[in-house]
Parts: sequence; structure tokens; C-alpha cells
Amino acid sequence: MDTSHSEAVVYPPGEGPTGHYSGPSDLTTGRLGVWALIASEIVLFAGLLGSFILMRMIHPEWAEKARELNLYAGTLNSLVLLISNFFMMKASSAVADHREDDVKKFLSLTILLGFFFLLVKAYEYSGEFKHGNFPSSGGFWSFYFLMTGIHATHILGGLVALGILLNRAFHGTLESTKGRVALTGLYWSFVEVVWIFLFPLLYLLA
Amino acid sequence: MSHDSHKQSFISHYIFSTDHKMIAKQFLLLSIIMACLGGFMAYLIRWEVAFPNVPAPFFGLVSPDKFNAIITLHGTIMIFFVGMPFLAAFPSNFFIPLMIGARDMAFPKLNLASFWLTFTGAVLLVASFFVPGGPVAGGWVGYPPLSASSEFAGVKWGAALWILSLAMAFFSSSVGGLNYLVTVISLRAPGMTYSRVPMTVWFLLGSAVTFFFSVGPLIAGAFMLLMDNMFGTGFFLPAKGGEPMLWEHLFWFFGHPEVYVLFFPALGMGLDIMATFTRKPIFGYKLILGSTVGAITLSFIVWAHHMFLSGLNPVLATPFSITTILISIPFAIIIFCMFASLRHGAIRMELPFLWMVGFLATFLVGGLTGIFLGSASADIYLHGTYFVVAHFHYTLFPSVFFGGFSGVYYWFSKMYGRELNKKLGLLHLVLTFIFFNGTFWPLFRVGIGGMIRRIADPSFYPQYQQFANWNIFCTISAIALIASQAIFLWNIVWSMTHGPKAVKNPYDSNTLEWLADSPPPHGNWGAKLPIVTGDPYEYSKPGEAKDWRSQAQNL
Amino acid sequence: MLDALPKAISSFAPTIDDMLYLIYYVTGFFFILMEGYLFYLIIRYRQKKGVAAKYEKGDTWVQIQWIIAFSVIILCIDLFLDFRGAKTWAAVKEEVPATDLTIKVQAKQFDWTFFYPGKDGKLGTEDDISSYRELHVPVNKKVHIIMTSLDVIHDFFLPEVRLKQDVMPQREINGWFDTNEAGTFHLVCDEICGVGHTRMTGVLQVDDDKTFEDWLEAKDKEQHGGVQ
Ligand code: HEA
Ligand code: HEA
Ligand code: CUA
Ligand SMILES: [Cu+2]
Repeated sequence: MDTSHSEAVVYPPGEGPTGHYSGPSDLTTGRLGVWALIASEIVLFAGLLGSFILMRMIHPEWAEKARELNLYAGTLNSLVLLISNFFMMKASSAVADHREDDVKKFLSLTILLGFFFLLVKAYEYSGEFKHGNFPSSGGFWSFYFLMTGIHATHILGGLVALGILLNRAFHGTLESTKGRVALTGLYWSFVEVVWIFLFPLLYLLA
Repeated sequence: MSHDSHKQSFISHYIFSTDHKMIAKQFLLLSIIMACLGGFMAYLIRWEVAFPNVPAPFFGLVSPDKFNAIITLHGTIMIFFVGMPFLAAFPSNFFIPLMIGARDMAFPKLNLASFWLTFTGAVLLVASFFVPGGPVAGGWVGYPPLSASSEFAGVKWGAALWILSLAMAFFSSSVGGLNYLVTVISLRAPGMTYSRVPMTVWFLLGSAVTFFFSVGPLIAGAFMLLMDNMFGTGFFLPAKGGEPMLWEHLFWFFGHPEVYVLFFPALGMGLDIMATFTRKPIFGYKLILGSTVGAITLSFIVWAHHMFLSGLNPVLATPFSITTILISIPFAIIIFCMFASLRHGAIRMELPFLWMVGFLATFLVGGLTGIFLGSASADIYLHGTYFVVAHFHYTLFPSVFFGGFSGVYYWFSKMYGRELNKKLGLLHLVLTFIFFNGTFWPLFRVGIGGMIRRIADPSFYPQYQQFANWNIFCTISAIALIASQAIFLWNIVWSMTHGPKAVKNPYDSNTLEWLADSPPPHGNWGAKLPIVTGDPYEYSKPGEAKDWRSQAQNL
Repeated sequence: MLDALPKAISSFAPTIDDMLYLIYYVTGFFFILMEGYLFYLIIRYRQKKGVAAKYEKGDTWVQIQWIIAFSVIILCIDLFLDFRGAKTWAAVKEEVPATDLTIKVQAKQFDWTFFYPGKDGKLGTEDDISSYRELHVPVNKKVHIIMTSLDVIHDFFLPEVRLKQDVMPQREINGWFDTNEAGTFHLVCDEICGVGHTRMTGVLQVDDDKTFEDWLEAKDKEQHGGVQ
């Protein structure tokens, strides 16, 4: 299509093809990007939660089903996420203060708790399956597995991002992209907030 | 980044380029290919409606199962794989960075991903023709239970592919939209304040934001529908405690804003074209933007006008009817401002302008007939008839094609460095205008007569025999309409390689893109970025020698 | 344009048609006005030698007043249409009047079955009388219909009555209509429901009371052997 050949262009410092002139650093676009991502997640989850609440109002008998959920596992997981977010905050401030060992420590703890969350979730699912409750076992279970499943996928995504950061921290290459720790923290707390909505709606609303 | 290197391989230049202009051209090419496919399906639909049970040339017999699949895919392709790439993705990618004086998008790699997501979606959709059970056949709105279980339609893999393909298109447009938004917020050239941003950019952003905030719930819905189909869940199946109307709500909460997503870019480009060719500032720049914000806001609370007769609580119809009809006010203001911009102008009758007039003249019909449908009581009769089909083709076709073509004719020289043939362009316009009206105008009457949409065999209905001749007339017009597009295809292919070399600013236009070379090099501007010093629409300012003044003068 | 409308045979059909005509005239007026003005502007203000365009931006108070006036006119028209439409809608869809007869409409891929109460006067019992694809109603009577579907969404559309309603699976939706002319009219399914959608039609047979009673009697005999 395009026959023109691109010429080598010499850009003044800081003005590449994606040069940033309005912000103090590349944080601006990055931060905007994460906020935009979160905004899109909000509309997605708003759709899910809204649908669930609507259906829940039409079907009061779903309360029975909700009682079959493992409330202990759910509560434990709420705590786990809360603490993991606390460590994430610690990690962010450690980055800001150049405390490299703390960065490694807190990132590791965050990741560990994230994995623990998934483990508990898997245990819960297997319990559900044992009781003969599958995604195809009717409206409530369809919603339960879809919503917690999507949420778990988000945890997994966050773990990947955290893993990359941790890897960089161990190789000492985190410095150039340290802004991303705070951004990932932003995302991580969003995932937490989603759970704060999911937990009472699914487990407690009887 | 690799784009500074002299020797770019074919792959990194044409396929995995992160240059916003190349990505825009990829979107354009994809939409042209998909338009040919969607157009071919339109021909099959029209053929079957006019000559039921007669094998269609180049295809064969359009049996009812094929007919249902064809209308479904025609709708899906035209909206998501022609309208969205041609009207939203292509101009956003090409013109947003150029018009705000940036060198590229904020996230070039995300931009690349956005194209390949749409591409994959298109491939999945085409693939659904070849899976056992055939493609989906439940209409582009995909109402469950029909679309939620193979029990009812015999389609399983086709449905899954269709949903996946839509999901790809949704993700693509969402990340695309985010990218445009972040780009405009953070990469405007020095001096490009928000009140100096051209209309095209504003409306493309409006379109992206509208899409973004309406699609989330439908993405959730798409997950649910996919699970119903593949894992036997019961989100939308009443037999399993589900609720089909939930899908209708999720779909139309997105579906209605989506039609404005396709309308806004055409309007934005139209306004820029109008200013250039009337040699006048746009009348009511802020007022137009304010009205648009109003229209966007309202568009989120009208969705149930597609569901007046769906079993919705009848008490809700009236409030939704009121909000729907109120949308006429912001659009009336915008059209009023456009007319006021024409008044006292010094209009240069050039091709892009004439296409824009074609857009206005035909869209008006679509907009006004929306009022019939928006009135719940009138909709009792008109819902599901060809009146609706005529209404939405009179809104969508003007937006996507009259609007889109006006943009292509306006900016072609900027994109390819060569000029289009004007005589062929005029012929294309005249034929498209005549045959478009010939195709869809009679369908209002057919719809008023009660003929319903989505029927494969009108000959089965004795009461529609009176419209048989009209249907044949529409079909002939439609075939001529589709054939006329060949002129355009020939024109761009020929002009791309043989057209006369274009100058930088052939129309004496103010906006920044005309300061760049045609075609703009990688990085768009030379060593220096433009420094913006004025408004985009300073035409015919009293006391100035020229009747235009570029937004930036330092290039 | 609107003369293509089919016959109107219910008490509310003319009010719906009135609505259609009203909107037709309002939008028709704006159509002619706007298209005419557009055409005029383009011809009148085409570029002429030595005539420059006027530099105006629409930000003076006079100009804004014009726009406000225009918007208020549109607002009034909108509200008038809303008000008129709401009345018609309420009469057809919200207020079910006292009816003379109840019929159950059952849709399934791809046909219609209608159930009439048998001798016990109740629906949903053994002695219900069913009719396949033929909806018989007595003329000048108000009929209460209960619509339901066994599988997917269908749509119950009686063009001459100007009545339309989606029929939802596993849900019962109430509606009503009356007729003021005897004859044979149309019934179509107006929601895509699968391969057979295009053939999912039926008949609305409006008869005088006597013919209707005879038909019902005959059906009853046929289905229940006439035994009580
Ligand atoms: C670009 C696309 C587009 C646009 C812009 C519109 C614009 C409008 N549409 Fe349309 N519509 C569709 C695309 C579009 N539509 C599609 C695709 C469908 C069908 C989907 C399907 O079922 O498959 C549909 C269906 C549809 C329905 C559902 C019909 C049914 O299924 O029963 C309704 C009902 O209210 C409706 C109403 C409107 C209204 C009120 C507007 C308004 O926005 C129009 C506003 C504009 C004007 C009114 C003109 C300018 C104003 C004046 C000149 C002032 C004078 C006016 C007055 C005094 C009233 N549309
Ligand atoms: C943008 C949207 C769009 C466009 C442009 C069109 C274009 C056309 N449509 Fe379509 N149509 C829909 C969206 C669209 N349609 C939708 C959403 C439905 C509802 C489906 C459903 O019921 O579920 C529908 C349904 C529909 C029906 C009703 C089917 C039924 O209910 O039974 C009919 C029947 O006449 C029809 C006909 C046509 C015709 C003749 C054209 C002609 O205008 C086509 C002309 C051909 C082209 C314009 C393509 C070729 C052009 C080029 C190759 C030029 C280069 C292209 C680029 C630069 C991008 N369409
Ligand atoms: Cu039943 Cu269409
Ligand atoms: Cu709508």
C-alpha cells in the first residue's frame, strides 16, 4: 500500500515518535493507561454484578444455594487478599525509598498470598464439585462460577505482572521501570475491591 | 524501538508495524474486504426477498437456514467489521495523532494489538461458515434461548465462534478507544489546548468513550452466552432458571450507544469538511460539543426502545419513549449549527463536501423516522417490520458510507500522496446516492404495509404479494448500488499508484495534518513539533489577506 | 405513504394509526423544511468571485437566542408526541379492560396453538378446546389473551388489529384486543425463531357470535367426543 520509505529521523531528546511533552515522566501515560484499564474493568464487573443482583431479586430461592457455599474459605480469602494488599503497599513505598531488600521481600509476600488465594479457591471449587454443583447446575451456580472464575483470572494476571517485577528486582533491573510497581499496586487493589463486592453478594446475601 | 532503522523488513513495515498510519491503512484494507463480503450478503438477502426460492446467481438457492445465517452475518459484519474499522479505527488511527500534532499513539504496541484482535475476530467469523452446524442464524442481536443452546437452532460451534469473534472486536475497540483517549490527553502538541482540538478528533473521542462505557456489560453478557452454549450453564435459559430478557437488556444497553458510535465519526469528519469548504468557522463549536455530550448521556438511558414489546413491564415504555424522543433536541441543535455554518459561506463545491451533503440529506431521513419508532405506541405496529430495516439503513449507510467516503475523498491525498480521480468520484457519488435511495426508500412503504423483517420466503405470505414489484425494484437498485462501489475500488487502486502527485495542502485548510508531508513520514513531523498558535476554524477572518490561517506556522 | 397500512379492525387500531399520521406530518414537515433549506443554502452560498464568507462563530447572544428558540420548539413538539403516545400506549398495553373471553396463545417452533376454556369455563383443565394455527374470536367482543412459548422467543403479531407482543418462554404475558369487523385476517410470528420462522403464520378468524359458538362446539365434539 504505502510506497514511501520511512526516513531515519533524528529526534531531539525526549521526543521520539511517542515522545511525551506534557507530563513530567512516562508515568503520565502509564498511570492514565492503568486507570483506563480499571475503568473498563469497572464497566465489565458492573455488568456482571448488576445482572447478578437483578437475577437475585427475581429468584429469592437462590439464598438456599448461597448457604451451600463454603463461608469459611470465602472469609479466609477476603483476609488473604486484604493482607496481600497491605504488603503490596509496603512494596510500593519500599520502591520509592530505594529499600531494595524490602522490595523483594514484600513483592514475594504479595505473590505468595495471591497464590494462596488461588489455592483456597481451587479447594472451594473441588468442594462444590463434590456436592454436585457445576456451572451447569442452574442460575446461581452459573453466576457463582463465572464471577469467581473471572475474578480468579484477574488475580492470575496480577500475579504474572508481579512475577515480572520480582524477577527484575532480583536481577537489579527494576530501577528503570520502578513506576510500574505502583501501577501494579493500583491494579492489585482494584482486584481486591472487586472481591469486596463479590464476597458479600455471593456468600452473605441470604 | 525498531522504527528508526533504515532497512525495515516487509514484515515489520507492513504487517507488524507500530506506525499509526500503517495500522490505519490495515484497518482500512480489512474493512474494504469485509465490506465486499457484507455487500455480497446484502445481495443474497435482497435476491431471496425479491425472487424467493430462485437460486441466486454466483451462490445457489438461499434456503431458510442459509438466509437466517446470512442476515445475521450481514448485520454483524457490517456493524463490527466494516463500520467499526472503517469509521472508528481507521480515521482515529490516522488522524488523531496528525490533527493534535503527535508523532504516534500513546501506546503503539497496544495499537498493533488492537488491529490484530479485530483481524482475528474477522477470521473467526469467516471460519464459522465452515464448521459443522453452520454459522449462527439468530439475527445480529442474538436473542437467547435461540442463540444460547444448539437444542433450538442446531448451531453450536458457529455460535461459539460468533461470540468469540464479537469478543475480539469488543476488546479491540476498547483498547483502541483507550489509546485514543490517552493520546489526546497526553500527546497534544505544544499550544494545542482543548478548545483548539478539531471536531474530527472530538467526535472520534466521543465515539470511543461511548463505546467504552457501554460495552463492558455486554462483554460480561458474551461470557455468559458462551458458557450457556459450551458448558450448559443457564444464564439465559428459562428452563434452567435463567432469563432471556437479561441478554436483551445487556445487548441494547450497548446496542443503542453503538449506533451513535458509528454516527459520531461521520459527523466529526463532516464538520471539518464543512469548515474547509464553506471557508467559514464552524457555527457554535462549543454548542455542538455540548449537545453531543447531551446526546451521549441520553443514549445510555434509551436502550429499552428496542424492547417495548419484549415483555418489558409496560409501565416502563413511556419513560423510555420520552428519553428516546428527547434525543431529537441535541441532534436538531447540531444540524441547526451545520446549516448556520453553510449560511453566508463561500462554498467550494468539491467532492468531499458533496459527499458530506449526501450524508446530511440521507441521514435526516433516518433520524426523523427514528421518531416513529421511538414513540412506543407507533412502535407497536412498526416494530419488526421493514420500516425498521429502512430506518436503520438510512442512518447506518449514510454514516458509514456517505460519511466515511467523504473522509476518504477529503484525506486520500494525505494518506497516499496522490490524488483521486475527481470525475470517477463524482460518478461514484451520484450513482451511490440514487441507488441508495432506490434501495431503501420503498422499504418504508413496504414496512408500513406490514411486511416483517427476517423472513426468508415472502411468497409464503399472500398479503405481501402487493409489494412483490417494489421488492424487485429495491433489489435491482441494491445490485446497482453494490456494483457502483467498484468505481470507488478502481479509483483508489489506480490513484494510489498512478494518480497525480498531491501537494501538502490542496484545500487551504487550517488543521495540522495539512502541514505534514503527503504522505507523512514516520514520526509525522520533521525535527520540530508544530507549535499551535490558533483555532482550527479561522477562515475568512476580516482584515486578513488570505481566507485561511494554519493552526501552526512553524513548519 | 401511509395508505399502505392494512385495514384497521380493532377499537385501538385507529388511535395507533392517528399516532402514525401525526408523526408522519410532523416529521414530514421537518423533512421538507430541512432538505429544502439545505438545498437552498448550498445553491445560494456557493463560491462567487469577490464574495467572501462571513466570519461568524455562533457565540453572540443573538445567535444563541435563535438556537434556544429552535430547541424550545422541538422540545414542545417532542413532549406533545410523548403525551399523545403515552395515552395510546396505556390504552393498548397497560390497562386491560374487563374482557368477555380468555384465550391462551401457545407458541412453539414453528406453530401456534390456541386454547379456549371448555365447559368448566377455566383454562388449563382437561376439557380445554384447542385450535391449531387458527385463532377464532367473536366480533365486537373484548378478548383477553395469555401468551406463552414452549421454547424460544416468538412474536404474536396481528397486523390488522395493530397488536404485537413478544412471546417469552416459560412466562405468561397478558394482553387484550377486540375486533369490529368479521372476516379472515393475518397472524405472523415477528421474531426470528429458527429455520421455520418464515413459515410460522396463522389465521385470525373473526366471526359473529353464532358462527363462533358453532365452531367452538364442533371443535369440542371433535376433541372430547361431546361427552360432558
Ligand atoms: C447510526 C445509526 C442509528 C442512528 C443515528 C439512529 C438514531 C435513532 N434511532 Fe435507530 N436504529 C438503528 C440505528 C440508528 N438509529 C439500528 C441499527 C436499529 C435496529 C436494530 C435492530 O433491531 O436490528 C435501530 C432501531 C431503532 C428503534 C427500535 C425499533 C424497533 O425495533 O422497534 C428505535 C425506537 O425508538 C430507534 C429510534 C431512533 C431514534 C429516536 C434516533 C435518533 O437518534 C434520531 C435523532 C435525529 C433526528 C430526529 C433528526 C434531526 C432533528 C430534527 C430535524 C429536528 C426535528 C425533529 C423533531 C421535531 C422530532 N431506532
Ligand atoms: C453498517 C451497516 C449496514 C450496511 C452498510 C448495510 C447495507 C445493506 N443492507 Fe443491511 N443490515 C444491517 C446493517 C447494514 N446493512 C443490519 C445490522 C441488519 C439487521 C440484521 C438482522 O436482522 O439481524 C441488516 C439487514 C438487512 C436487510 C433485512 C434482512 C431481513 O430482515 O430479512 C436487508 C434487506 O434488504 C439489507 C440489505 C442491505 C443492502 C441492500 C445494503 C447495501 O447498502 C449494501 C451496499 C454494499 C456495500 C456498501 C459494500 C460494498 C462497498 C465497497 C466494497 C466499497 C469499499 C468499502 C469501504 C471503503 C469500507 N440489510
Ligand atoms: Cu416463531 Cu418466528
Ligand atoms: Cu436504539
